[in-house]
Amino acid sequence: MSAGRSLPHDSAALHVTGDAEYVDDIAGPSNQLYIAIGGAQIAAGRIRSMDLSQVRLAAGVVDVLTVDELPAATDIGPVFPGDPLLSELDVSHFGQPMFVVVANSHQLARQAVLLARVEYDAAEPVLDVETAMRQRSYVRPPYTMQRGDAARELGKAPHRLQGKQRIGGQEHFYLEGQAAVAEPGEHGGVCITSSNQNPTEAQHIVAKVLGVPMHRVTVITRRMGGGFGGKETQANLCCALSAVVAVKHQRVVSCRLSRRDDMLMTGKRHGFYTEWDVGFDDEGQILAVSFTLAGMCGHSPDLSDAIVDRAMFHCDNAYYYPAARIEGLRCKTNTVSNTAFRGFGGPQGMLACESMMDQIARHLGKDPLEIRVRNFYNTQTRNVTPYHQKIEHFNVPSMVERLRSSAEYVKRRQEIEVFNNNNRVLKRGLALTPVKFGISFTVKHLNQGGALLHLYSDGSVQLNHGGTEMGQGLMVKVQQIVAHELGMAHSRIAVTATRTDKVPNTSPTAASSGTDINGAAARQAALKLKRRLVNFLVTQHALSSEQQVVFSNDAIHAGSVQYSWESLAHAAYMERVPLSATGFYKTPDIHYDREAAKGQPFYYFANGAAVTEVVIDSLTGENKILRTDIVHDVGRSINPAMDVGQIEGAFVQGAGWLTHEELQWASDGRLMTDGPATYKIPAVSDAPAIFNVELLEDAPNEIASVFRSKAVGEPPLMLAISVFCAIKDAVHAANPMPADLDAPATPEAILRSITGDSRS
Amino acid sequence: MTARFAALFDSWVVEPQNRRMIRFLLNDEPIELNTPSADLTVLDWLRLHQQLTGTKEGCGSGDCGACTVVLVSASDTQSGLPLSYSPANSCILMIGALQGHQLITVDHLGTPTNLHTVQSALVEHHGSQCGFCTPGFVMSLFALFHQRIESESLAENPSYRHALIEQYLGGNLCRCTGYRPIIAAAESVLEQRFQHNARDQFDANEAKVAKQLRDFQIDVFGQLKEPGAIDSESRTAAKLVVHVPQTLTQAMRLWSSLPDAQLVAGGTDKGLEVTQQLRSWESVIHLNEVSELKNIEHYQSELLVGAGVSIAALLETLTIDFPQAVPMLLRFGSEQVRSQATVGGNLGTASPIGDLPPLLLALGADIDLVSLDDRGEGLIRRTLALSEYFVGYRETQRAENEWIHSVRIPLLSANDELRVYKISKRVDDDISSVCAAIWMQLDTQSTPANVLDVRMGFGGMAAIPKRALEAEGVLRGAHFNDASIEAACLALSKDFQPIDDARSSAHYRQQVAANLLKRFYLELNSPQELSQLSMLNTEVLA
Repeated sequence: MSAGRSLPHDSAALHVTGDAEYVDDIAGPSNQLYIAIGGAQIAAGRIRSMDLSQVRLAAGVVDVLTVDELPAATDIGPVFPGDPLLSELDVSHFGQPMFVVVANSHQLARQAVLLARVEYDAAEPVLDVETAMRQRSYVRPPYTMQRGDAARELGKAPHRLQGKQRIGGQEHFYLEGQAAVAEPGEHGGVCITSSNQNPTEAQHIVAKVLGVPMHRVTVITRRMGGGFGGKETQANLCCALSAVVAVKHQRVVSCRLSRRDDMLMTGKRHGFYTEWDVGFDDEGQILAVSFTLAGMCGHSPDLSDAIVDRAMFHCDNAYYYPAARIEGLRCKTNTVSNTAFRGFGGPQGMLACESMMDQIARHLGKDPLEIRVRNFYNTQTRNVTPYHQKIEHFNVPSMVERLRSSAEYVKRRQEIEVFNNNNRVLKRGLALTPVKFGISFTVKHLNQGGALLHLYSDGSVQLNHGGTEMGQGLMVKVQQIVAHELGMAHSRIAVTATRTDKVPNTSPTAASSGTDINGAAARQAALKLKRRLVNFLVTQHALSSEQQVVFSNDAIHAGSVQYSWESLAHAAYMERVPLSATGFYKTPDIHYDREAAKGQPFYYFANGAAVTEVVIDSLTGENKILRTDIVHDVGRSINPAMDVGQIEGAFVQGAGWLTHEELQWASDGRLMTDGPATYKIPAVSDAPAIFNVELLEDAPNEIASVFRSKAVGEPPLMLAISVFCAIKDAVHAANPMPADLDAPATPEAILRSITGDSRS
Repeated sequence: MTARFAALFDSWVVEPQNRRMIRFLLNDEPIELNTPSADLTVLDWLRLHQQLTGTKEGCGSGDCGACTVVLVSASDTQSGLPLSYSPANSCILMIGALQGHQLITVDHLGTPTNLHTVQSALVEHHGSQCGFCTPGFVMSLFALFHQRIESESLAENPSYRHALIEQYLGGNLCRCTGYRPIIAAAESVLEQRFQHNARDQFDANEAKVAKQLRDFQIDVFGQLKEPGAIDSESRTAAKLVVHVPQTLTQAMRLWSSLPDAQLVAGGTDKGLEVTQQLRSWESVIHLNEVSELKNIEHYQSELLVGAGVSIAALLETLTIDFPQAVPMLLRFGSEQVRSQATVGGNLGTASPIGDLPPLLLALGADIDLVSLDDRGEGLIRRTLALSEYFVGYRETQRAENEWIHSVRIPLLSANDELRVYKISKRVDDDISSVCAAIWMQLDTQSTPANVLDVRMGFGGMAAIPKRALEAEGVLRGAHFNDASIEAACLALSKDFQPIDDARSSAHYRQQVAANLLKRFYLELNSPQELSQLSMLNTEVLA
């Protein structure tokens, strides 16, 4: 049995030897060209003049392109327009692409960019959400969800609290920067190899930009050196530019962004400004709540409509609100257009919710966990979300109970109190927070997957599907699903690069849906192929029933005859049985009426819970995670090692977002944290010193997902909210009346909160 | 010397342009490069010239470790080992630094069907996800594999194991795994190597490689008597060259004839000119083979450390003389940086956020500067207090024609107290928001104790690394009690007017500087309560 086993990543041996090929590793022809992009040096205003004559004269430069040289469409906005491939006259963020240098080497192209002489009429940039809110400057209209009459219920509540929180954004910092290589094809077409979560979207955009039908454009992605949402729409820039230049010069063209350009020119996780107004009873049971969730979208819509929606869908987290009003704002700022990032708005909505829970607990002098448990959904009565979806299955309460005892929450809470009483400087904190995360794209049509399966006459199998590999182990999981259905050794199946010419019209590998939709599609292809083989064997051996054909242990039994895959494939081929099958899957039962803000946008929910203990230094704000215990629900795991890897990795990534990853802009809109020297993602000693991760056992998905597994890419990122809440707990031990703690909780933010200094 | 190389050598002495030649091993293949560009990075050479694409570029600034390679040198004879292995970030390592070394890259460790111990450990523990950072982790683990480590202390002391792992992996960023499986793989590597004596192909070849590396040195430097000055006619020919002089006089003479040449020792800061500011270098003088800059000498009352001593070597020395400085030095850059970066480099850049100056200021160190005499034959040396050396933002007392030769650090006497603090957003491989070193002599006979003398060096608080003279003045001769510490904290605001930047605000810096002084006071009074958080191991708290 393949499925359910902890097989290593299919590329593991290639990763460790350096043999795994990434886009920039591809050996190109000797006349290959290289691109560098010239970006705006102001954040808002107009280009008065752009003198590129010195750029053209620089060593190794072959060509320089501006918007005027683009052949067809010039806007690469994925859903709504607003993302000029190269800016015309208006500048709306620092680093906005203005021109392209084509040269004989990457370094020469980059050096030539510096020779541009550009004059601007600079305007005052808007660099934060609150200013944009005041100016009612949005990239998309505000949107509200409600259930019940929150305003009335708030007025009647025995207790009422208001709170606010600033939440920082996050740079993806995939270790492999954006990269694409374009090779010109016939009839004005092009074939692009790209580090890309969304090859179909890139194909669509490139076709538009070149002015050719999609059938002239092929996009290939073997693997990414990390994606995390940052290569869902942001990969389009390199694809489109390399394609235009490749077609113009009829040469292979490489476009890869230096780390700094990548950080300046591509979108990040949205920062948010959140406000809540909550009414509750003496026990801390919430009666009504009103949220304002304002996302820092940057200069254009990109995916912000759906991202702020998802923040709104998740500001209930695991809690029932009898009455709720949730307003989402898509604020326009003069910063790079923010985009998908693991969790897609969910983490920000959920953090606002959990901060509110802490605030209620502190107001009532209770343990925050007590307040959380008291407000949990159940599946009988308190079971309707603010968007009117019913909660039918809900593992969170039992998981939290389990974790409370396995991680010795009560005992440690007491020990921490003793420690904090005995220590003037170091303070420890503890928090247990749950996660309920909705699975499905909230844009319905994306919930479809396709696959293509070939059985070759030697018994080996090649598998393609619409999903892309960014490290999450999608390929090995889908391989395991197909091997499982065919009773075949997984090693017989090669999962090859994702290509738009093999499986068309695919969805991005996003929303944690990779395995759910592509694994299910691959399973359909396997079942189709299996059916043909069964029919063939029944006829061939005059079997009385299909039940006499059994696929197991890498062999096929047809009555008393046993076939190896080699012999069956050969026999079927000789009898002219078609050995190639497509598979297709669409997620059933989902619908959402955005006008009414009602429906069932999620097929199911993924759940988890984490308890984290931290220590802070109240003199410096330094902090450290001492221990984290996680129970996470992945349904029936297809590959426990891959799932645990996603949980651990997402948790630490989330912890980075909430602790030391800090995006800062200078007053002119230039990103100051534009490289790893100033933007600090977690390093090895930031992993929790004790880190226990457990998959919820015997918990197949109640919904008929593939293999009864559950999506795992994004949900565990939000387990890191326990880190933030634990830090806040420790801050309260240092000062019972601290100032608001904004995210990220850097040493400076922690010290500011302890000393009660409010930020501006 | 073989006849072939003798011939090469002859032509090299005659023809100035042949001074460009550098020789090294790429894995097990001898390489001679006759005309490398001065600003060619090892990473670009591997990926673009050799088509060895296993080594990855993650940042191009030496901050992520994806491009980690291992440099092997023939050790000096005292260490008892034929070779020493150190990791380096190849993205900011210039090609000339390879002279006389073996460069080991991920491509050479093993194949997918015949993995090296460190590679199979990563596979078995699911230590790769996207795989892009993985070659760098492989090479850092490989460097660790080849360190000399006492097996008993490893087996008995889990926190020592963990500290080693953090030391060797702190410069490798992984965005996917959250590190837990990589740490598990590293634990397994340590166990296999140092408890079960796992061997690899490099162990088997050590003697041969050591000989090859020594021969490379002889070939290039052996009969080079006075290559110093280059006359004006040959200057053009000498452009675009890579020079690797062996003695200080040679190096200084060369530089006096090629004043535009870039001087590179470790290059961990200098290399960014090429990869981040995109400058071109015409010629470069590499200083890492100048042996007299690498001296470490113990005298009765002071320690002399040559400018070319790497931070890693300094760390090893200070473990004995100044153990209080070790926690901070373990957070100086990453192992890749510590192995290459030098003491002289850290003082030469005169950055206000360098981590050595605060320590050296607190210890009252002196700096030795040298210059060539008028005839270009002898060296003129002068010594000045480090506190006088720094004069303005990246400005020092060092004259144009002077080089940093060494620092002299007074040793501690029995009653000296020393504490060094580094405050940054992240523990591993980060630049200080504030770095503080406090040295104090206390008369503990009196109650409360009297402060006999004190020096406090701060980084990140001013345009230069700077002593807190006002605060020192308040404390010197005072009782070591709450009142004088409070007064000294107030005085710090006269000493420093720090600035806001991406690392922290001026306000935070001011607040933390004072709090570190408080922490120093508390630590001396109630040490059990106050282990430094960055060094905290969980057993302490459990």
